[in-house]
Amino acid sequence: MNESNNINEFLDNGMKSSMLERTSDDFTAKLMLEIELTKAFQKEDKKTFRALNIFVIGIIGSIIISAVILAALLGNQIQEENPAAEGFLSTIYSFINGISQKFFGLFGLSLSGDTVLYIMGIGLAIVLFTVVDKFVLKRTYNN
Amino acid sequence: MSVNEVSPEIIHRIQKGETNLFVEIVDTYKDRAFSLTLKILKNREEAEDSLQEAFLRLYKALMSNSFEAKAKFSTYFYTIVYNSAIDLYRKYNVKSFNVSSIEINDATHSDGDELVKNYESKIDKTMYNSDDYSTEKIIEQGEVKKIINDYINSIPEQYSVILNMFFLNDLSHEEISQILKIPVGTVKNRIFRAKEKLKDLLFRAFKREELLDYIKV
Repeated sequence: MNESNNINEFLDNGMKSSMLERTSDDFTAKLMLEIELTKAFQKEDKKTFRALNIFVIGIIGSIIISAVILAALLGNQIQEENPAAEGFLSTIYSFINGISQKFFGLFGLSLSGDTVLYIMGIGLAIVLFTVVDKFVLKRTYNN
Repeated sequence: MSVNEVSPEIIHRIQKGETNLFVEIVDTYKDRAFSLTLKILKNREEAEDSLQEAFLRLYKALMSNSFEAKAKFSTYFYTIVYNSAIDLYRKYNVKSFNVSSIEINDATHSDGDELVKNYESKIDKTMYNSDDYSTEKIIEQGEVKKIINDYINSIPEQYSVILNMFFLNDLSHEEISQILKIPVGTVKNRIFRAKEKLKDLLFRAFKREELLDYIKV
């Protein structure tokens, strides 16, 4: 039993040492250089990707916001021309106008409903971008 | 660092940016993993390229959290090493490595394994008939080692890759089976047969007592 164990151990060690080969001396240095380069490329790729996304979201966002504001203003204009026309958008517009005049009146300011709509549109765009950036884009960058 | 396992703590620290710890992993594994890729690709330059690619894949996997700390590191790492070597082999179509036969599902190959028979008869012809292997000969320094080396270099990749993973890289039968996608029984069978054949070869080459004395020394 002991003899058999000795032989087995001898063979295991013999095979182990016969199989071991060594990499070239600069293997680790070359690999780490490659990793640093990969890191730098990934960083650049992320930057480009992020810039491209900001651009695309900016354009889509501005189209959406413009459409909403335009629809609100148009609804208001229709109502002015025809007071009998009471659409959904003009109701919202009247509501915003009334609220903003009362709210800003407290601070001694006088802002029209149009101005408030623009400010709200910009705010909506910022919130929209932040949400998309946080939950969609950053996940994409990391993958 | 243990022989084959990297602690979740180290992986976490690498992910936090401690690149020097990744260098430690590289230095721990590179020679043993290189021996494996060299067995597959049979060319030092290609084997190093393949290993570089494997470490890069590992680094990216760690940084993108693709590697889950609860998974066994050695299995994960050697799967990458093996697959990178196979990818390169397919790219250059190295004729000397028979991928299809190592990947073959030879669950039915037991005692009648044709592959085993073929390589054993080949070794019988090339090594036993050589003048260097005479039972009358007294063991000289390095001679046993030479026989083991010759044997390791003469066996087909279907064996040498498994032996390399088992003896040199300390992978278990189950891990090898998982990496190579072959049944555990086949892995055990090949290791057992390869070892028995080497034992037989040594006992035929030298007197039993002499060899046992040599081993004791």
